[in-house]
Amino acid sequence: MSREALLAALPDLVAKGLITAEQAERIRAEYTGSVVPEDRKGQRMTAVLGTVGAALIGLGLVLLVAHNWDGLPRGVRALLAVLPVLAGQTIVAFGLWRRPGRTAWTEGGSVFLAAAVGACLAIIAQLFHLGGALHDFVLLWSVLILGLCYVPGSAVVGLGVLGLITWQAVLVRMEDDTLPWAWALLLVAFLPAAVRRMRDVERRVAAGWTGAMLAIAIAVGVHLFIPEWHPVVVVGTAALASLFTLTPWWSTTPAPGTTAMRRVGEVLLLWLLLMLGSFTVVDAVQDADDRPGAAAVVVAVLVLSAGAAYAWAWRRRRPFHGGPMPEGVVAIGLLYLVSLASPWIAVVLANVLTLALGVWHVREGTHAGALRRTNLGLLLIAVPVLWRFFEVDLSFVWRGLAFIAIGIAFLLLNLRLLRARKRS
Amino acid sequence: MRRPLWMFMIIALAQLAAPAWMMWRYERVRLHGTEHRFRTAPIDPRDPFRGEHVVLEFEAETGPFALPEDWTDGPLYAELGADSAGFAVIVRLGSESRGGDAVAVTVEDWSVNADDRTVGRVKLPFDRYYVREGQGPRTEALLQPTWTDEERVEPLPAHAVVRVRDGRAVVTDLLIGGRPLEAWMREPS
Repeated sequence: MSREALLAALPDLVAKGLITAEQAERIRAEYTGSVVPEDRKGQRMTAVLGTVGAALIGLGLVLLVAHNWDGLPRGVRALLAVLPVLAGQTIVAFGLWRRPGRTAWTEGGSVFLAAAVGACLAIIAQLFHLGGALHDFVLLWSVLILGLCYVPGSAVVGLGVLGLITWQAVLVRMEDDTLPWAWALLLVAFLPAAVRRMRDVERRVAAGWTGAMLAIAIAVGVHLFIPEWHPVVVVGTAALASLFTLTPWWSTTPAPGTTAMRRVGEVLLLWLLLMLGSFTVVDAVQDADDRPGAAAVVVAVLVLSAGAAYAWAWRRRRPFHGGPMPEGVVAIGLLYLVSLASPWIAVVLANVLTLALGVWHVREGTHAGALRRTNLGLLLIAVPVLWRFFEVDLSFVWRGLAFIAIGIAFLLLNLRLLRARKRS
Repeated sequence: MRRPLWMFMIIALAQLAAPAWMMWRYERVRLHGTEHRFRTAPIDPRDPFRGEHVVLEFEAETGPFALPEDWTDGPLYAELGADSAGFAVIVRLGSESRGGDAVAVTVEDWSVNADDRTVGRVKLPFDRYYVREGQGPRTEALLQPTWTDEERVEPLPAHAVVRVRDGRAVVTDLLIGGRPLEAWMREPS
């Protein structure tokens, strides 16, 4: 097996529970020569502490501004608005000039500068009593700090931008009842920086966070484009989630950030499956007798996108290779169709599927001695069981016994796995 | 000099230019704009970043106003004038800016009467007055009616002083009973 093929197979091996994530990390480090020396560890710690410190100072600055120091002369307040921005810019420029590649300078300086820009805009709003909705303020702030994701290339500011633009989109949709086009534009503008960050094998934690946040931002933002909610949206959500789960297979060597995207997609699919297994939710699906209308267009776009993503991943992945989750959209789609004809059959099928997934995870997890995977399987068995217990009218005795039984199962399986690990 | 540094200098320039342009634009209105006094009734919310402020609702925003012939959607421009007591009123709504004392207003869709082509309510582009932390509730208390021996005592009249120039507006003061808010806040509570 070539080195590239081995590296490409690592996520699958982790997903199957054959090796742990830490073991995969060590193999990757061995074959890519990216073993972390002690001085690099020290630099990482400095970077984390520098970023946290800068974030706290920046947030403190924003809170200080919110007090509104109207006793100070206007000129002084205007100067106070600009000075932190200049200070932040000086720190970032110095980092680029004298300390290029040092994460502490890049992240710390950028985070402080991003907060200073927000504080500056807030002071100007106070100075001139500027009105306008909060989403306009958030939008301008996002636009002004977006560049920091490219130069110097701050991952933390990138996460902040994702959070801000998504918040802005939610505010626009909720308060103005208009579609969040600015979110779409800003997301497109941010994507090249996000892709670069997600591929960064040197900073895997940052890559993972970027991947996860990007997936969450896309999931939230896309749903805000649905004019009116209709049950068919679950199929669109499943398509989007399946698309996320396929991202590790889009390139020969999976980018570190795509693993996090895959996890978000998997969680989303499991959540949908649990929802379709609920009597209450499926009843609501059947009650919605109106046609989906414009929601169907969004769902169609998402399903087509998932199809394209599946085709793109086909070169490296065959059906059910590395787990069944990318095929989840088909299962959710079928369950939705069944629920239209017979909601009760859909509920039963969804629960059986969830339980089967749970059992499969427990089996694979116990074979590989993977605690995390075994517990995920147990969770998949326990959640629908407990949820159903609350949906049907059962006495406290039966509910209590169910809780105790599941609790004992958790304890016993985990103890067994821990003992097996100790022996090996 | 390295290329990233040059690129960062462009970003930094944009980060400084945007606030500087905002300050210059609004400072000009504040200093040289025509003064209008709007009757108002404030309430006190908070903003997570910009702090405490009172939201201003103006009598001048309530019509009915005739809609321009060509208007179907989007903002309109309100030409400002004064009533007999000297308070600002909207004289006319137009679909194009004529500069001067006209400000862009948002039409409240729910108040549009398609039959006689009028609108009952519009929103002026200024709607808040920032106050120091803790002064919001005091300001609101000043503007609430009070009760003495089951008799309602009306609050003091309030109005906002707004400067308008080239279609832009800046709130410069909030007066309660003819006294600036600052003067009220200097008094012990």
